[in-house]
Amino acid sequence: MPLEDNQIGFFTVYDGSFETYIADFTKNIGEVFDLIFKFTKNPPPSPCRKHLQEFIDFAAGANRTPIGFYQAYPGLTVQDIHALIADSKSMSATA
Amino acid sequence: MSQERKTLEPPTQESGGFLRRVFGRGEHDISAPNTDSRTTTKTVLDLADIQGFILRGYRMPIVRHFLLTVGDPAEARKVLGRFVNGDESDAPQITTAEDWHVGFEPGPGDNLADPPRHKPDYCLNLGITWSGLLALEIKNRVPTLSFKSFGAFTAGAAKRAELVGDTGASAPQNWIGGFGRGCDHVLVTLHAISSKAMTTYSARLSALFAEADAFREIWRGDGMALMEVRDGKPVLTTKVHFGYTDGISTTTVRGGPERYPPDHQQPCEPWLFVLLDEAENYFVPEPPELGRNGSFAVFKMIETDVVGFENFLHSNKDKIDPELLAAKICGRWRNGVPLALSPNTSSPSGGISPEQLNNFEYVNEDGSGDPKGLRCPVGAHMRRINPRGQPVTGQGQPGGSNNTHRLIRRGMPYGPAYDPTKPHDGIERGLLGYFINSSIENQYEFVLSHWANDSEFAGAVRLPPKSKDPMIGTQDSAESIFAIPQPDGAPPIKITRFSSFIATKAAAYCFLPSITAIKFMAQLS
Repeated sequence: MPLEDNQIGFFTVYDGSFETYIADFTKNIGEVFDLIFKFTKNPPPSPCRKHLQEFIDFAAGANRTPIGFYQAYPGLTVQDIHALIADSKSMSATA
Repeated sequence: MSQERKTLEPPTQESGGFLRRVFGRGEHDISAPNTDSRTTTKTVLDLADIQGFILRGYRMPIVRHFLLTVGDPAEARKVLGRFVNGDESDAPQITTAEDWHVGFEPGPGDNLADPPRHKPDYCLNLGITWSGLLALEIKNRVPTLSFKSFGAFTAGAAKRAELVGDTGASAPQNWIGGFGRGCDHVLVTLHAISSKAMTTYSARLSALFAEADAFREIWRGDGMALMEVRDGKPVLTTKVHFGYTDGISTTTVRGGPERYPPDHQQPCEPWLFVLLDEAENYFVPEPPELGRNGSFAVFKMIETDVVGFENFLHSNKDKIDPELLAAKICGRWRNGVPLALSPNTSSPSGGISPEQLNNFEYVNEDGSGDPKGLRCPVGAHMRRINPRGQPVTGQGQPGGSNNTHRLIRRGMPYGPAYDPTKPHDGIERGLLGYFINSSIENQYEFVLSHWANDSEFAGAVRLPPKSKDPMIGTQDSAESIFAIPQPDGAPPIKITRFSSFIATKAAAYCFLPSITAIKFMAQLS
């Protein structure tokens, strides 16, 4: 999302620790970051998938604590939500 | 772990019989590269430069591991070079991933007039720890040396032990034979086709190690395929001590030299197991002649508590039949039949051919299948170690392959087969071998820490929080739990009060250098 002063914000919600799944994260979206980093001041080295620690350090430095965080399903992880949706569909199909 | 290994128990009606085809001479036939119909890219793997056990299961009945500490660094480097000098008369040679007949030399028991066979007497491989590279003075002599992407390797197994659950009885201070103490420099692994060949080549190796104080052998461990009696005769099996037939699920490498029976997973990219420049998530160690075509492996010696496991199964017989519990814990019946294909019996009508024993999926692309684990519990050992198409945190759409964290296992039991009539025989038994991967952090350590010893990856709807792998997890008995989902909305059967059924006796993080790399190290002045 474009922000003021030529800044962009990247908003992501994830389960667990950032470092745990960072390798998988960059597998899916690393190329997007690599593209953005071409137009970023003082970027971490690319490709970020190969420079995991540098990417983690950069992300930690750029991280901002949200002033508020809304959870539609408090206490549930993404996997839980997907599982419950799948189960409800399954029940509907068999009803 | 029962994720990968080696061979199916083949049908007996084929010519040559089980032993001859699996361990014997003449009949073994490994297809040439790229004959796998699923292989869509031409191989780029330099098989002659890659150590064989990375890409091939040797299917030999006995193995011996030598742990060496460097004596004289220059002499040690010379000895390493002799393992790849092409002169079999000078030293046993490192086995590469090329087909068997390439470079094969007749063994001591061979009649030269016999037709050539396709399997050598022995296979030889080696791994070097980071402390080993230092002791060999590689770092001193190669200013550009870099293992930038491989911090776990340079830290070593002992420092990373807690991360993978090697605590308590499995903690490094309890490891045997000098493992984890900085003198564990080089692991040499010798597979042999017979006891005679093992004796012959062990003697040659021991002599080489000792030449000019190159190396000092500080530990050795032997493994052997388990025997069982069939039709009154002892035969070799592919079983492990807990009684399961092993080696059914295999990791197929795209463009690799081995062809395995079909399963629903895509072949793994070769850079997950061979250090290649095309890798997405690491830089090949530098200089390239040292790093390229190498790999990494975690050597482990794991003691199995067979008595504890069997007693645990029977202690829950009021909740569930012990053999069904054994199947639910593993994900397969002990004869290898997967719950995914036969949830109610180990002997389904019509049978399941060996080629089909790995041909199943947990969750299909449309979400169908067994998402709740009614057939195979989500927390079962093999479903944790290789979730296949099940969605997991960090990756994975339904029906995906979840290949990013795959491992190749090359292991063999040690100790005699468990005899239930003599449960307290005082004999230690377990598994010896390697978990092979390009990234120890992202593969071995990830699987052990997040999939085997945690439950977050599948979510609390599918897995009870704090639950761990019921077979290999590092358990806290008080909070341990294994849920076995039941059909028709019935509450799951909850099995609790697990103990840890395995204990790590030794571990080492090893670099598996290519042939080029060994030559490179050997020529350093």
